[in-house]
Amino acid sequence: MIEVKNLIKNYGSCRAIDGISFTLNKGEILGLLGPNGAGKTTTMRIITGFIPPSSGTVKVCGYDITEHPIQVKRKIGYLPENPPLYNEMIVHKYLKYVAELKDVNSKKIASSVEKVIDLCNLGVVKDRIVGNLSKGFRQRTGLAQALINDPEILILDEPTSGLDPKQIIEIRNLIKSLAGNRTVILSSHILPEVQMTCESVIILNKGKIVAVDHQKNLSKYLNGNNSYEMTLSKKISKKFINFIKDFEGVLDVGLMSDKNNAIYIDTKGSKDIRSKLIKSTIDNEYEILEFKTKDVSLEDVFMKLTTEEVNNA
Amino acid sequence: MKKSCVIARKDFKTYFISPIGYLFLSSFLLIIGFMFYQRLIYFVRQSLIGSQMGQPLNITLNDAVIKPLYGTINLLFLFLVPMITMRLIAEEKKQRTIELLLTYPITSTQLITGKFLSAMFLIALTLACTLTYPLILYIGGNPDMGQIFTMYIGLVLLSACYVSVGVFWSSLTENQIIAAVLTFVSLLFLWIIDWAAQNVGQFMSSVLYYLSIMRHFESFGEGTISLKDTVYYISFCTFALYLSYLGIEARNWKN
Ligand SMILES: Nc1ncnc2c1ncn2[C@@H]1O[C@H](COP(=O)(O)OP(=O)(O)OP(=O)(O)O)[C@@H](O)[C@H]1O
Ligand SMILES: [Mg+2]
Repeated sequence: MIEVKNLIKNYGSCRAIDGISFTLNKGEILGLLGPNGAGKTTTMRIITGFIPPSSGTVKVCGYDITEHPIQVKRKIGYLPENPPLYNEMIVHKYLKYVAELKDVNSKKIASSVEKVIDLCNLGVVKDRIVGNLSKGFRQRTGLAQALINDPEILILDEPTSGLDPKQIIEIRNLIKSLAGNRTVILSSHILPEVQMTCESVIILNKGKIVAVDHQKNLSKYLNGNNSYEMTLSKKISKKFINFIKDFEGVLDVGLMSDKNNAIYIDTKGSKDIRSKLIKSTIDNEYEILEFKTKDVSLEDVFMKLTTEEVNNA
Repeated sequence: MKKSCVIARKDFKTYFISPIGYLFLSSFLLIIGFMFYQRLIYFVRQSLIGSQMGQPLNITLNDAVIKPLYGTINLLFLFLVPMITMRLIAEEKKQRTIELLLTYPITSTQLITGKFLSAMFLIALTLACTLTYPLILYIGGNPDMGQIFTMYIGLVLLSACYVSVGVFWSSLTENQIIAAVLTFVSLLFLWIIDWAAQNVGQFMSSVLYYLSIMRHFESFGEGTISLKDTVYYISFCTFALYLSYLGIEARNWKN
């Protein structure tokens, strides 16, 4: 459905993206993850045909974006970051205008406008001026204009940024319900969001892909290690730490920063040492105040991958 | 073409959402109305003096009223067209709405044509409002309607050139003021270019005369529609719009 090959984009001497390739099949949801300036927006702008790549190719449904821009653009619905809308227009008139530009059959324009207004819950604001909308409704209006021609592909740039928690959940659910048979690319730097909505994830940093994975594999990879935190009743001795370090399956042990009565223990996932750990702690005359299993989240992988990249650079 | 009209219609309506459309129309009609009144008084006085002295009238209605009137319209367009073209593309860039516009299935040509047409609709509306003056003259007098007709043709062509220059500058910047100033300066330059013609060699002066945007209006003012001048205006327009097209496509130039 979408085939991106070796994409490079230079802004003057600054390389915004550097050799990005991936393919996406029909019906998949891809998350583009990365810190600020990673090149998510740039990648999306190239796929939507707003800016050309410096080199590399993008094919959408077999059409090359530089050779057949119109065919490609017909299939894509795009929601830019902080959607730029015509502030002076009235919501439903704006949507009608977009429908006309997006080749919606003139007989179906009124019904498609109604449909997206329903879908995006815009009913209460449809007669208001776009410039006066709250951030949440503005985002929905942006989503509505992307959906108006019922596109096969949706490209959403940080669809939930700047929204309140309730709106975030609503928009996420909306996106999930939209997915169905559509192919979706969405960008975010909020990890749980990608974890919840996307099937596959690409982590970008400084214009390069630092990790690609299917959500399932990624979580498996994440669950490879377990990590625990333990708070004890008194100061923990060096000796005790070294004692735990020698357990089979323990990767790393150390005091938590700025605490002398709490430690973290990283272990191999294949080996469960919890009961042994607790028993020997008590045997060493410590009382356990708290014991926590830390989920290794996508967040950790993300931080690890992106900071590693920084260190290497 | 259909999509150009969609864009043109929307942008035309936008003129009347902001005060710009009303400002343009009212200031234009105010000055033209004043001018018409003055010229009419002048003509009436001339003909009164003429009849008292028992001499035949040595000035026609067209020369006394119509021609100066359309000269003023022309001058006003020079000042006011930058005001209505400055926002066309610059504002889309400033508000970043161009990002969405260019990801819709429309070509840059359709976009430019739409923007051009929206300003031309406003010009057409303005010119339509001025039709009342020849109508008044027609009711009360005996003007040369043919000459009035060719003048309108000439004004439409001339203003199309002004608008195309405005669209061009608007496509190059996201600052409306810069777009307006550059439009005005380049139009003024095209107006006065034939002044320079007197001081240069024969070949150069014929080139400059040819380029001068006003020279080509003269034939329309005389009541004729000259093919040569029509071709000049149309190619001028096409060329300026083509440059605006390049202005939009500039984002595609590889660096
Ligand atoms: N028009 C431009 N001119 C020059 N540099 C640019 C331009 N647009 C983006 N960049 C640079 O390209 C890099 C990638 O930017 P991009 O906007 O794609 O990042 P992003 O991943 O979307 O970040 P964010 O999370 O902040 O939205 C950045 O270093 C940015 O400074
Ligand atoms: Mg971005």
